[in-house]
Amino acid sequence: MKANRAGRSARFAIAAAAVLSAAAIPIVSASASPRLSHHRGHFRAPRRDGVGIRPGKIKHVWLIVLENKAYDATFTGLNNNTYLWQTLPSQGALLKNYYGTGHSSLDNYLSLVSGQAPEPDDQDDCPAYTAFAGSVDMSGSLWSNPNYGQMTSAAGPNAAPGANGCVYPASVPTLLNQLDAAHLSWKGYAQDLGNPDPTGSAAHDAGTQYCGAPDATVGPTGASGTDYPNPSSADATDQYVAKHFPFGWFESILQSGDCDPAHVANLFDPTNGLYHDLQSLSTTPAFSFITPNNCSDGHDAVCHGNNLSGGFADPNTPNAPVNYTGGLYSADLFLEHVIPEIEASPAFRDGGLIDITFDEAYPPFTYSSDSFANSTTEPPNAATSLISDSAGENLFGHNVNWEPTGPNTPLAKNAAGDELYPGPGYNEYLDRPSNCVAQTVPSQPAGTCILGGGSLVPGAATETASAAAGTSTIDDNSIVATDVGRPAAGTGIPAGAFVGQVTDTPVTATAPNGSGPGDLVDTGSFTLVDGSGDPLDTTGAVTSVTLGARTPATDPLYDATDATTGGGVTGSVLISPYIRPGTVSTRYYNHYSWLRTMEDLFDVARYSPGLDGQGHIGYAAQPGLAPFGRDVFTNPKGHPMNAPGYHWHG
Amino acid sequence: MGSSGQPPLTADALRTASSARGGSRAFWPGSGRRRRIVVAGLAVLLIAVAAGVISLTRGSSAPQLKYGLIPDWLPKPTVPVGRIVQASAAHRWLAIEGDTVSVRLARGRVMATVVGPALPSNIPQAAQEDDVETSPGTFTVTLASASGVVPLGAHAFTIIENGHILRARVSGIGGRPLPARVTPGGPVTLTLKAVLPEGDGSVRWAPAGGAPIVAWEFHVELD
Repeated sequence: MKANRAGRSARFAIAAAAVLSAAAIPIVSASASPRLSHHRGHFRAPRRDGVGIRPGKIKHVWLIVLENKAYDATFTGLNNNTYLWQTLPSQGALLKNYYGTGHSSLDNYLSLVSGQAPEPDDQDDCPAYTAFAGSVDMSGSLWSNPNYGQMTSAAGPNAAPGANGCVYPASVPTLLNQLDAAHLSWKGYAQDLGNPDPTGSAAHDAGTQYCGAPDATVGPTGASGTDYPNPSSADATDQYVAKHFPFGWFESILQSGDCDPAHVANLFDPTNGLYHDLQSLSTTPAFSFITPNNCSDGHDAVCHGNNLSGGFADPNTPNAPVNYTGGLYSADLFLEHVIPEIEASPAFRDGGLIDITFDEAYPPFTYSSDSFANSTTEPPNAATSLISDSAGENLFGHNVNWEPTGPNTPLAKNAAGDELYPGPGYNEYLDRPSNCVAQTVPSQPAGTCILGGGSLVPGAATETASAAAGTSTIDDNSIVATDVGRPAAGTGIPAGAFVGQVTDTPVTATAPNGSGPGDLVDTGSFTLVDGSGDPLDTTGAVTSVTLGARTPATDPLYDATDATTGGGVTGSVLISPYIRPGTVSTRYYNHYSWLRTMEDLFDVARYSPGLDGQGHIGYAAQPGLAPFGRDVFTNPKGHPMNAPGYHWHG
Repeated sequence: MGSSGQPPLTADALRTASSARGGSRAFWPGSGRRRRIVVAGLAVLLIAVAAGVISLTRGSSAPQLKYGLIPDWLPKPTVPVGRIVQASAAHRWLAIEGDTVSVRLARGRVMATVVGPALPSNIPQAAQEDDVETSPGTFTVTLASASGVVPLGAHAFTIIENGHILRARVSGIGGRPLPARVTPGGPVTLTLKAVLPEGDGSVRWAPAGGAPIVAWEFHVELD
């Protein structure tokens, strides 16, 4: 005991000396990064759990989160996104098997910074800004309790969206709190944050002082969306959406005193924005969370406002757009502006790490208009859609198609093998039986429901279409790849006709979303066929077509038995002096791996032991979970800060 | 479920620990006199260290990290950025299908995009010409953000493939006739339908007649 105390004192003395001496550095050296300098080799090496680079070498991280794309739509050139697909991987590491942790958007953002698993309200993107009622499960240990450290809803497992609430209580810590404790700076940049909304529109955020939250106060659990609005779609002047910015969803951040311009800012703010902060080491945060707006993150296929296609008058002032195409086209426009700005910064040269990732996957077909073209390698059916609901991570050195579900979205099957609950994947892209609510055959508990974010088996629908007489090609801009095989009827269409091959052709959106003609990014057409698949000619001019209802037997997206376990494969790109350009990794990672990596890189364990004593919170503390390893950080010696460069003129 | 046993790790706890102790438990063990003695000693040490740092900093040639220099080890982008290119009679442009081109005319300007060809899935052997397989194909032309006078005529579009001029049927969406000019602001979408052989070609647009101002290259594969 005595020796132990003496050893602790010695370590204390060395550590304190280092802290104090580091604190002196800003006084004498403007080029140093003051809040990170305590990492500079004065201490014993911290414990390593597989992270591929010594903690302290990475001093600045920029995380850019894009929206809703599967790997097959993202890194295959399918969506006119050459910069993301080709340029950025050539500069760094492409993680081909990076997974989202759930559906829909918000739960992924919250998992990233807290390690908390999805819960139904967050999966529903929280239309009401309300308190998440429950408690943190701290019974047992990480090894004995799979929900250890997870927030458990007071409404119970698989409660309906709206019954749980959204804003995590102060008892749930985040990476940002850990950085605060470690005296490391951080900042959330959101494009359009604080922008004015058109007259009559609900405000998208309550202000910087509320960390980008949609309302100044957190409503009671179960309150309606009318009382606590959270506009989740963009408008012409404000394309910020709160569901893509995690800070306002944690009381631990709201109550921290960090909701100020030093921690939360509009991305293009001239005095607090990214470009301003990148100008010197002293103004660049250790950790930057960058949320593009609902257009620049690729969420909207047709943008409601500026998609940056007109270029910039100066680093913070976009010109008027020349078109309104969204998706990965607009994401590329954003990245082409922001990434070189970061790469030209002193902080990037001094141990920088840029991480471009996605919140969740999305099938690579046009049927939701989020992808401009249909994948040529993935047929539009339930099996391939399930890839966008899959999970993956690396445990104890093994890639596994699994992630912990958490206490609020557990999976279960009935006697017939049908999935009873949506799980973390939320059944996002599947059609499930429509009789699952209050299911009686077989009997299930009241409220049991396997429906999730996905649509029901589609019923009959009439769409605007056009064709001349005597042709087998029908122009129909609403037609999608998964409509193949539906019965087709209407004036000019012969009996016994079906939808044959669907063709979607990308076009440039020439008008804002919802404004009428021109607000589309692909035109559609299909071949009219008979029951044998042979082409049928129209019998007269066609102005509309009625597509028949699907049945489970004919619906290509119908699936009752496969679990939707996660957020699907999206891929991710990282660029750093410590990553050899052109690196490719196939190891499985997800948002929990990312959080664990950040905690390791910034060595937060020194100040916050986390659930495992190594600084990991939430499911980042899973025993055996791999952080980004040597397969990612392939240049451990790094490039010298003063390596030659070339001037960039933004 | 629920809380039991040890207290939950809370953000408040993190912050409290940090602010009260100035660091983690590992850095600030013990209390009282021992701590004060050690801190006093460290203060002396700090001065020495700081002085050393000052000396080192002034005497070193530390790199001046200024903004604006992209590291040379980063591969330079090889793909063009800024997809909107300019074209005019004095500066003709060869584009690739899918590209949007800002076309300046004598009395107007318009954003022009050609996408295609879209081919049917079951390609019929519609025609045989010199043993070359052919297929009907459709190009979609979008003319948007027009200002001034932008004339529009079917004769202004030509398709050249493998050195041959192909006949194209030009119409508005749904077979509607073409307007004489593009309405300022609003987009006009039209289709070019032709029987296309396998190979390379281009869609050319000469809105004022004469030589085309912009051409979009395309490629047809029928196997």
